[in-house]
Amino acid sequence: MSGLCMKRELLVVGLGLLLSAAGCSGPDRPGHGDIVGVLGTGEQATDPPTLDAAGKPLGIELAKARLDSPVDMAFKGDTLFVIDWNGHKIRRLDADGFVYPVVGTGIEGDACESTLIDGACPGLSAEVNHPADITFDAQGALLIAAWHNSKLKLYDFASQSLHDLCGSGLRDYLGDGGPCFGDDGAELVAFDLPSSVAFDSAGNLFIADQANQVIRRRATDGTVSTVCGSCPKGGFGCPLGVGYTGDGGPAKSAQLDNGLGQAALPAGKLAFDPAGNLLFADTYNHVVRKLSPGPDSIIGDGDPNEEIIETIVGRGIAGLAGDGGQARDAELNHPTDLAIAADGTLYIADRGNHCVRRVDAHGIISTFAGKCGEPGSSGDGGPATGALLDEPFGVALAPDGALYIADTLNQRVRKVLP
Amino acid sequence: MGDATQALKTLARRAALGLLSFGAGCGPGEALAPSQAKPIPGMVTTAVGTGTQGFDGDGHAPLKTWLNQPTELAFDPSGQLEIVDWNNHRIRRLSASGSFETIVGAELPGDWPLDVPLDETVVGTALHVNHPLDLAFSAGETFIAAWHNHKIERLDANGAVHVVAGANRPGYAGDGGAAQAALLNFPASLVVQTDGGMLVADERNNVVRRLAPDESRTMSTVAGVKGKPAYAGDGGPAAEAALGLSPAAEVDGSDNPPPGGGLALAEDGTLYVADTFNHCVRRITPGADGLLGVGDASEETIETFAGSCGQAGYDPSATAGDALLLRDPSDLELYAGALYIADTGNHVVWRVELETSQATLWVGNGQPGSRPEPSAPLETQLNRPYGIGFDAAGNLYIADTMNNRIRVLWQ
Repeated sequence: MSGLCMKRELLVVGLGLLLSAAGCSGPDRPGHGDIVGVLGTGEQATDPPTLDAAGKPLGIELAKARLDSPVDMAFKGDTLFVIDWNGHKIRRLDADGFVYPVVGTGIEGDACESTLIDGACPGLSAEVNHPADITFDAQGALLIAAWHNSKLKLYDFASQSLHDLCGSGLRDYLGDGGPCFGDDGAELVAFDLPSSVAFDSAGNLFIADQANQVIRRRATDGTVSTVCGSCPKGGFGCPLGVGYTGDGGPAKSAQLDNGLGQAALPAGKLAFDPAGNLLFADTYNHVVRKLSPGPDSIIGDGDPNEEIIETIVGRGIAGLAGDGGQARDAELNHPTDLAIAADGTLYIADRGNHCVRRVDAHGIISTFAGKCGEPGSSGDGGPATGALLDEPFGVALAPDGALYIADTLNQRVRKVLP
Repeated sequence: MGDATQALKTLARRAALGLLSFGAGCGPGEALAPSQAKPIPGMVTTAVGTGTQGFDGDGHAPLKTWLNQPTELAFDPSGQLEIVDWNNHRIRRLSASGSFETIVGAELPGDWPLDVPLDETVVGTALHVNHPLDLAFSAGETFIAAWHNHKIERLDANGAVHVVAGANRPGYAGDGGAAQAALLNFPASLVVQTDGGMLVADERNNVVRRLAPDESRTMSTVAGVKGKPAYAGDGGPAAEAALGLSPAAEVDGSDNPPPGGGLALAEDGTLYVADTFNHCVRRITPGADGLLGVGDASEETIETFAGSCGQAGYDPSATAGDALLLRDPSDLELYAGALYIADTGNHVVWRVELETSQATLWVGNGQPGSRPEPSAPLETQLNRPYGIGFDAAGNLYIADTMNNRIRVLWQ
């Protein structure tokens, strides 16, 4: 690879001068609303997880760390965790400025390359296959939607080990009404490409069961159920469940479209708003929908007929129109992920439009980062709306209010400063 | 997305990131002259790859091309090297001008759209595939084991891809009918028979299937009984035997076996099967017609050729085929009277004489790694070599998968 291009450096310097002259930001320092790089050199590459002589993971200098199709991130406190999707692993950016491997050997699969201890595999000996989402449980453990494993996996930081939490690995739709495991250890639940995981305030776990076209719940008592969408018969996709119906009625009678078969990409991600509604990207319907709890305030408890679904963003047609107007009248293109701020502001990874959209508390939509409809890679240090992104699959809010963007085909994580 | 759009996108992105140089004044550019490996007789060197695991785009010379866990290689009828760039989800080909180009695959893994009409075609670089695993050439066309797509694809001479067999889900169905109506479960390896038929290691079904050379490519199962991996049947008909092409530890039907079940077909029609998770190599002798899957199936018998089925291990001093210990052998190649075995889990390549079963450790010191080159064959470190192949000159190419390189033992 060539070194930094002289012309480009001049260009960047020139741009910086221009910006400061125009008073857009400080002399050298990007400010509010500007986009900057966080992680990734832009090269599509995988850094193999390496260990020191004592078996401890070695960090890679932030400036040198490379990613292979990052799709999402999450924060544990101030620490950033990144999903290196086609690198088949989870990585962590520490305060020391180094990137550490957390889970995954870098080889797709579902095996443990060392001996299981109490049914758990050392995180760096565990194979995973295209993990798509992560979150943290109340105890701080890392929960992974191991997408192409069709399993949920849980990583315990104290023991640095990973175990299967739920899902047999069969791509099927099984197990509602019971626990993930039977008394004899049998795996009773099957997912089909679980793409997203989110906890409600009561600790119930919600799972976007992508190819089954449903959202499922693992209650605090361990019982698994379906709370949204309808799949008459699973088993490697649920074509009978695909549709765009049900708005205004019970969520369990609605139909979603998260893509099918081998062609689907991670889709249908979940997020709770401050009022306890479950929002999700109905990706292949090009909308964001909202699932409201009944009077008991808990989705999945009580009468399912009182849990109503509606579309809140998008008119159901792929496109990029609508900025400045009501979100419901706007167009999205394969929206994939959501992040919701404490004040209810919604950020949408509008993947097919190569931008991030924002819906404010009044329901007005605007472009927050990137130029919708224009893929590319540019704009670091300047306003996010002047930058170009390329198929951003994921968004996440940092504790300081910065919006992190998985700029997937640019092989980087970027952020928009608060 | 159109080809041109994609190319422009890639170009624009790379330019923006400073990965392209535009001639003078733009820093040290990458030489456009081919950077080819220089043969060193009797030694192992890298032929393709820098060791970096990734995708740095097409158009680079072999020693400047990044690979991502390459699992297999083959020389096409024109003698050009093709590589299964497994975790880049692409098939790459060395062009006449000396640079690597993608012939099948695109950004992000995937598949055809759902419910694509079976007579539909698409340009190779517009087709997303998911972890392709093997290549074969027949009648001017390239056949691809689209492993995690559960399909066999065909790239015709015009660059268009067709679905040959399989659907949008794994399964075991369609014997006796047209291949396009059949279901496969992780097709891992392909070989072409002398009658134009094709044999497929149907990994997760633990069988070998045949596509007959008739118009509909009629499907049949020629070795193994569909089911869980097992070891049985030596001395009897191959169709009644049990194979271990996929690992036993997996839940049946689960989505994530490692690659297994490489095939090699001798000129006399004898089929060698890497019985990967039985840790041995099986040999299937055809009937009098010399064509496996044709004629009386009871005449097609199976036996163990190398390794100790059911026992994984490593003994570098082994000198007889039946004393050999293997660990997850995944690819086989026949050359000059011997069978070469990519003994993936032991990080070595073995050579076993077909006549005498004399075994010789051929490449690798048994330790995963990538020690400096050039290296003597038995001092060479490989890291999970999944695939092997010979060029016309007899140089042994090794897909050194976890080193992200193609290595060569030069004649």
